Amino acid sequence: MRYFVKKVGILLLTLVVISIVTFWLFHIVPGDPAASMLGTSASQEQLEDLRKELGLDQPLPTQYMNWIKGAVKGDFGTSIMYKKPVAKLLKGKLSVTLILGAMALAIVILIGIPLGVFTAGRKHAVSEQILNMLNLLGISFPGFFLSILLIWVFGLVLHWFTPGRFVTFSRNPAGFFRSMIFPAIAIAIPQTCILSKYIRSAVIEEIRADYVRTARSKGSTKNRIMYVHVLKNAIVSVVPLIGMIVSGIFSGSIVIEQVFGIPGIGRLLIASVTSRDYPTVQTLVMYIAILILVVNFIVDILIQILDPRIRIAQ
Amino acid sequence: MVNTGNTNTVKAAGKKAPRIRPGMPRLFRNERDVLKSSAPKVSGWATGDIELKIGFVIIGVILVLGIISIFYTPYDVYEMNTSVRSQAPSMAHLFGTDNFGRDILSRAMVGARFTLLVSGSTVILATVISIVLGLACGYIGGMFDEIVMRVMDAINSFPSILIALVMVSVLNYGKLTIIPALVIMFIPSFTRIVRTGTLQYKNAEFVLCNKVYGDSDLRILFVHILPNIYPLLLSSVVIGLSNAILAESSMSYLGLGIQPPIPSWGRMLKEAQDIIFSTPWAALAPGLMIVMTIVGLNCIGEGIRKKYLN
Amino acid sequence: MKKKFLAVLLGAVVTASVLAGCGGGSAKKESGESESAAAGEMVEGGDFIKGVSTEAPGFDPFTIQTADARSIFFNIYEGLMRTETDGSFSPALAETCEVSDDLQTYTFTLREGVKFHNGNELTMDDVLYSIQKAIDSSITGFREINQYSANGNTYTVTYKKGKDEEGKEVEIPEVKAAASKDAPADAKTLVIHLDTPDSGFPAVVTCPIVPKDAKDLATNPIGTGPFMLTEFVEQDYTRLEKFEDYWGEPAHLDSVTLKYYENTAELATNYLAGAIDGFNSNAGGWKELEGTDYVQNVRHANAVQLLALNNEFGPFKDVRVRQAVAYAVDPDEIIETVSYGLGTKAGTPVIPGLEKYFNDELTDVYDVDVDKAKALLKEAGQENLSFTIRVPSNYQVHVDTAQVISNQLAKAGITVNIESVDWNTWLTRVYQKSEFEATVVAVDGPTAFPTSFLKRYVSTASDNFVKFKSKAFDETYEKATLETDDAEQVKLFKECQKILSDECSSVYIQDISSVVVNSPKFGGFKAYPLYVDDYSAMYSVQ
Repeated sequence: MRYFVKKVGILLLTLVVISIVTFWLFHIVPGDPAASMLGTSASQEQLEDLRKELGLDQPLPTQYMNWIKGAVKGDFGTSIMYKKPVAKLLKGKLSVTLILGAMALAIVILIGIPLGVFTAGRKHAVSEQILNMLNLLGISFPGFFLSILLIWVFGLVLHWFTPGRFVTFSRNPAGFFRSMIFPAIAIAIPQTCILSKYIRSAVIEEIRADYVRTARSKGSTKNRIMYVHVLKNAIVSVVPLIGMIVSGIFSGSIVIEQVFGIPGIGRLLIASVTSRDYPTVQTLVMYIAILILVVNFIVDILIQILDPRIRIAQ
Repeated sequence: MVNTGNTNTVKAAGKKAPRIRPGMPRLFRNERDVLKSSAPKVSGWATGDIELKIGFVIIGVILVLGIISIFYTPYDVYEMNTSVRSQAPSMAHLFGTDNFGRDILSRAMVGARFTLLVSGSTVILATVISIVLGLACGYIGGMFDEIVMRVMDAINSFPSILIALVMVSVLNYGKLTIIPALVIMFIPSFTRIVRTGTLQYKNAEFVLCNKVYGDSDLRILFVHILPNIYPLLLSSVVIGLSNAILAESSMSYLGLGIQPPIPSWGRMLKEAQDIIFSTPWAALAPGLMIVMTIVGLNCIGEGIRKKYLN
Repeated sequence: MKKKFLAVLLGAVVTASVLAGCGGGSAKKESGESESAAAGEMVEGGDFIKGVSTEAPGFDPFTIQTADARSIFFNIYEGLMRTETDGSFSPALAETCEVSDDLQTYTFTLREGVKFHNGNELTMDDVLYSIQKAIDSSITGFREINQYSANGNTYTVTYKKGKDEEGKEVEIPEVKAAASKDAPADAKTLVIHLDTPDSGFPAVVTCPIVPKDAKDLATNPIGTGPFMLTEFVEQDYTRLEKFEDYWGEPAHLDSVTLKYYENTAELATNYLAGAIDGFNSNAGGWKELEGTDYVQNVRHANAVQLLALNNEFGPFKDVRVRQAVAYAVDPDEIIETVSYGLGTKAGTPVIPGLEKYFNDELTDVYDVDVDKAKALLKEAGQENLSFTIRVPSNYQVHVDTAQVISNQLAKAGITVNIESVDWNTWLTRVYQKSEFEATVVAVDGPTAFPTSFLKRYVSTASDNFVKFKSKAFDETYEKATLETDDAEQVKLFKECQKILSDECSSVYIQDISSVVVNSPKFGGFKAYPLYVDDYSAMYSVQ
């Protein structure tokens, strides 16, 4: 229990550090939101007025404290770009990206693990070689390029979906999922390949372990060894990867949302970075950070529970 | 393409293995193959030799192309010539020309040099830093470990575009400022892997044994623990190297990569997207190069891993 | 020099979605109607989905001034006057417009029976409110108003010098109302008095009229235009619906959806996939559609692309070095390479489409001459000239142009580095702070009048980002703006351009073209000398 409390405390501390660093880092990037709003037709006076109106003339620590005070109360400020509370702005976008990410993660796990185990077993078989090649190809394409190819093949040639026609869930649930499947696949492909590659290495390593021989000599069935010992240990050894995969899915979705025209937080992030929409960027970074930190936190706990060696080491 | 491991052990176990029942799930039926491998099959594939050869040939070819491009390219890389714009691959232009009439092969050759330079230095820098950090974290533990890992978490949870934008702006849009931005992005995952490995071996019998013999901490870390982490680290370094190539292309897509007019594969692909219908071959050379390089790297990684374990 | 300088839009004008026609006649297909008519019959109704690659950052016409927002505003808001396709101005919310002989007094009569989108009728109070708001927001051109009267009141505008918090000098407008006998008593007549004669004033009063009780125009715009905004989903789409109570000829389409895509390359893809019915293509985007059905409308941009040279950067202080660069740059090759031959050579910052004022003698002054460039560099002792072009990375056209220029200058022994920076960095560093050596960008004007393009070269202009300083230019420009005689004014404006060319303030390359791609299922495209898309003229074809 103490361990948990300590971990949660550290988690919160990390979040505070992230919020400060984001705030500071983003403000040292040249540019300001008033510039985006007025383009090049602005006079110096107009710019100053607007800066004052947006509270950008105040010192940084004051701006930060104002933001954090609001954030604690659930008020993340008003988007400079859209003149709308950031919380409200995010509501629609966050769900889109989370669903997209969840779909991608489901594909990664449901295909990645069996694929890894399968290829580990199928030594020298033709099917294994083919799978290996596919696996290699899967991680060999830059995300945006893979998306373009998917759009080309499945959208323009085969007409399985209409790229660029995103519909909201409330308007047409079936259409919503149809427009999300291919982006989810595009995000999932490299991650699936990475996961299955790790699982494969882990399974192979485990099969060679002493305990497998011991179990064998004890007369355990192959099934039992594979399911109970090998797979379990293999999965344990790739648990640390889950954090990586989740952040991979999120950073992947930033680019893929762009290519497929999905209005999620990835696109919003890029747009708000470009227009220097400080409150929106700050809030988005915090959201993403919380998400990834929580996943890593769970992963840490899982490792503790699953791997006695690390438990002892702590 | 997979290593059989210690053949004797496996063979011994194989003899005792019961016959596989027909109803057994297909997924595990092949376990027999795993256990059955015998001496004749311990060929190049098993020792990793073939993979190493394939990998080194591919990477060698690409490296040579990159090096040749310093002295010679079939055409000028930057010269635009509208009279040969958007030409399909031919004997004159093996990979065709882009919408400005530049020879795509020549550009991809120069691109090889810069892409490998960027991804190579990124991964080398990130690996060195991560090994030090990861070993220290795993071995020292406690507060130090906690602080470093939290910082890693923090970095990991920053969107990469933000890191890249900040680094690129702060370092004043140099030609290769993308490298430090990528290094920062790669450190957390490498460190995590080294640290996890260190934790696993820290209390292993052979480590404790050496400790008792009075080996220094540094010796234990670098001589006894580190080599054991290599297999996992190597495969992540290989993936890291390919990821660096991919990350550079994503950054190029967002306009933050290597500065024009230098052609990196990523920028070539991004520019090819604009003309994907009228000039589809513009994507061919950089796409092929990226895929080949990553395949080659993975072969080398796999090969080294097998060789090392045997 | 009393005129409030005219706002200028840069860069934003040049991506796929952002090109404007200039002087309607220059559009190769003036409306595309001929094709559409052949293809089928015009029908009422329908939803037109247009792919765009930039979003309007809000809908308040008094604060948002980006080119893309203006394009949408054109369909939502109307002013007293409106711009026609041929560049002339016709009464819109005003029924008549009369001007005094000295070009200093304008009299407008308000149109009756005009309704706002919220159902309220347009009154003089709304007009007065909008004028004051425009003055307060320093909208282009309103600086020249010193008095206006209506409803029995006279409103006097004065400017006080003040200081803002950072101690910078600013001018704060103040409007004082007073009952006056001279003022028109009826609620229909508006008289505006200007500081200086201005034949271009009708362009100024195309500025939107909004209801006086309008709140939060940024998210809830209310105008009198043929379309009203019904939905805006950030990063996704903007939806305009036909305004049934429109005073003029109502729109043919039921609605227009502006679907937003971050990347211009996706526009062609999504057009081919059938997700959108049209888009504004950049130089080569339409090439991607070969072999498919589409109507292509070519129009000129209201923007001159230039290689801007920072006149305060060491070597560029010497006019010979600037001229050497100009001699080394070959605009024809740039037009051929980057714009697929669709651009028009410029040679001056004024767009060629402004035929009356454009000084066509300057187009070929700096025809490519590498030997001359080398000689000039030698004379100036800058044989090893090297400089950096800082170019906005989001405008592929400019990045490409910078690459062509880099090749061209290499022939004259000049080394060029390219630095592509993001748009906001460009705006703050290059445009506002002049932290650059050279840049490639396109400059456009919101009104079709030469001041739009020339004002920035006045030594004291705050948007003089190339830091050009010339007494001769300042004097000639001031003389030109104050001149009442039309022919003389034209001469003076041409003289201004001559000075800019002689002094080689920058290298003026081309007026970029835009290709508006529409599905054959829609007709009625209209090209304006402004950066706008007029949806009210469009219709479905069956």
